[in-house]
Amino acid sequence: MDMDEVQRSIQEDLTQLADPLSQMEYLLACARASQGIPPEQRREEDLVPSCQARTWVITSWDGGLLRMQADSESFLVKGALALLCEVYNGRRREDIQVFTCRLLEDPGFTGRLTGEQRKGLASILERLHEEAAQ
Amino acid sequence: MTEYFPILSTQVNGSPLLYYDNAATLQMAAPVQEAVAEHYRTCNGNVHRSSHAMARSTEERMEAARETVRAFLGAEYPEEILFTSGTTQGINLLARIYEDQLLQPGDEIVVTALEHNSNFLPWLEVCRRTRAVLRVVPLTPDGDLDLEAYERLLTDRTRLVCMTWISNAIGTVNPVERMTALAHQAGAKVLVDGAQAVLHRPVDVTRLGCDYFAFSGHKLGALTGIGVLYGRRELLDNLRPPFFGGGMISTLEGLHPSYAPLPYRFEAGTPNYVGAISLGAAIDFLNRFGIRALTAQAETVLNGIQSIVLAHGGSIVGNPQVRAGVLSVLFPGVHPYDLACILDPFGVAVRAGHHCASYALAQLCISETLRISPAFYNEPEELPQFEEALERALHLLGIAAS
Repeated sequence: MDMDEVQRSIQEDLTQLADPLSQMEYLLACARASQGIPPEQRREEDLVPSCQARTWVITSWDGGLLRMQADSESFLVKGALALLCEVYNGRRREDIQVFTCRLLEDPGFTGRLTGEQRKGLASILERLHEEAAQ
Repeated sequence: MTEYFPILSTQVNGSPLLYYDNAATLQMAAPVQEAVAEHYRTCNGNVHRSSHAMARSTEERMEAARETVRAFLGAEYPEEILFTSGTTQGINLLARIYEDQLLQPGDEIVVTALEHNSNFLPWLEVCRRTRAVLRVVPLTPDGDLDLEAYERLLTDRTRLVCMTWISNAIGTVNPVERMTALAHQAGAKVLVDGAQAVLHRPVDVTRLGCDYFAFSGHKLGALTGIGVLYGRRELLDNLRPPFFGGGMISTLEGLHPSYAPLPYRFEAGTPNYVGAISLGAAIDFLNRFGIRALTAQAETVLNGIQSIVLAHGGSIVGNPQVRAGVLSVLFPGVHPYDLACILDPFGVAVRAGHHCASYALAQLCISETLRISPAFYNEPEELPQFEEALERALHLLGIAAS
């Protein structure tokens, strides 16, 4: 599936989970399924600034494809990051450059997160797109 | 009590609201709401400016509120009551005065490690600007102030001691009367941040002996945007206003202003007179029951919450000698933000974070907590719902952690 299709699939899942508790259970399940970043590999320089819960994102480019790992002390944020990884991981620079991420506008995705956490996720997306444009 | 607070009958995601974030703001009682509405229905005019009936009536109500606050604080004179926009602005007003008029390089200001940022950052900045020295009273491992260290910090260069009465982060109740006496012995003045204390302790600034006292109206169920800075008259009389605008001069002859008497010279601009009226109404409402009785009710619920937290594997941050108003709690392997988020759809309203007291938490080697702060309108009958919500939230998070 391309990035838009993955994003739509996530949005459809969240829409079907109409109540806030189910949406949070969904994020928590994504957090559980995520490999995250092993504690010994979490570096200060990979911390996302201004995130209320300590959150790490590591990106690299392998053969022109994005490799993204993410983790957070907050399981809800970790779940949200897992979904972003599902959209962005393994994608080409040119695909990322033309992609518009609408997940942060989706109340099912961010409705349970605080304003500061949403800003933290927005800064991560901004960084991914900046790296893709380089 | 719920009859006075219709908002407490709200449902959140189908669950009854358990509003346990009263340290952030207290809900407004129906009589206070009615006082605000009645004001706008019957007599609204700007104060200290026009002479028509609307203005005169509004002015009378505002000054009546000032008198209500005076009595509530146990102050001697109404002119010692300065209306501000809140604790933060009141403290910043005093900080600006100290910066401009009362500090020399090498002077010292003492704050405590328990301070909310509103009573920490202004003094940090004032000391930076004036080259005065900021001294911080450290904490004991239990979250009390280290009073021996406090005494050692007081010198003949100490100009002002700034202390919170009750910590908004961990609930420590400080011995402000004793600390004030020690500060005065050293020749220093004392500012007490009473933002949390006004709902949990009867206030008598004369008995406390403090020179300044600040609090916010919304912590008593008044409108936001109104607060009070109390200052002893003999001190305020000798201070120049730090902010300027309408309503704070007696005369202006050419370029020579003559400033208005107290309190108006410190209330430049249109005051939040509706806020003041709401504050008077909020105090009148609370006085029907008495702060001691209201505190006892809140403490009953707080103790019940503490038992539930401990029974479910949580820990209470700090073990001060005296605690009031708030519990900061931690659960192993659970981020406070996650717990607060997941409690919300069960109707439980609490706060997670550093509570604008990150310095205090850092002294206890903590960065965030879940803060629970019931008030007098919460009831022991709510505790089973709280316990069930906590159990379900922890269960969900336990699954995520596995």
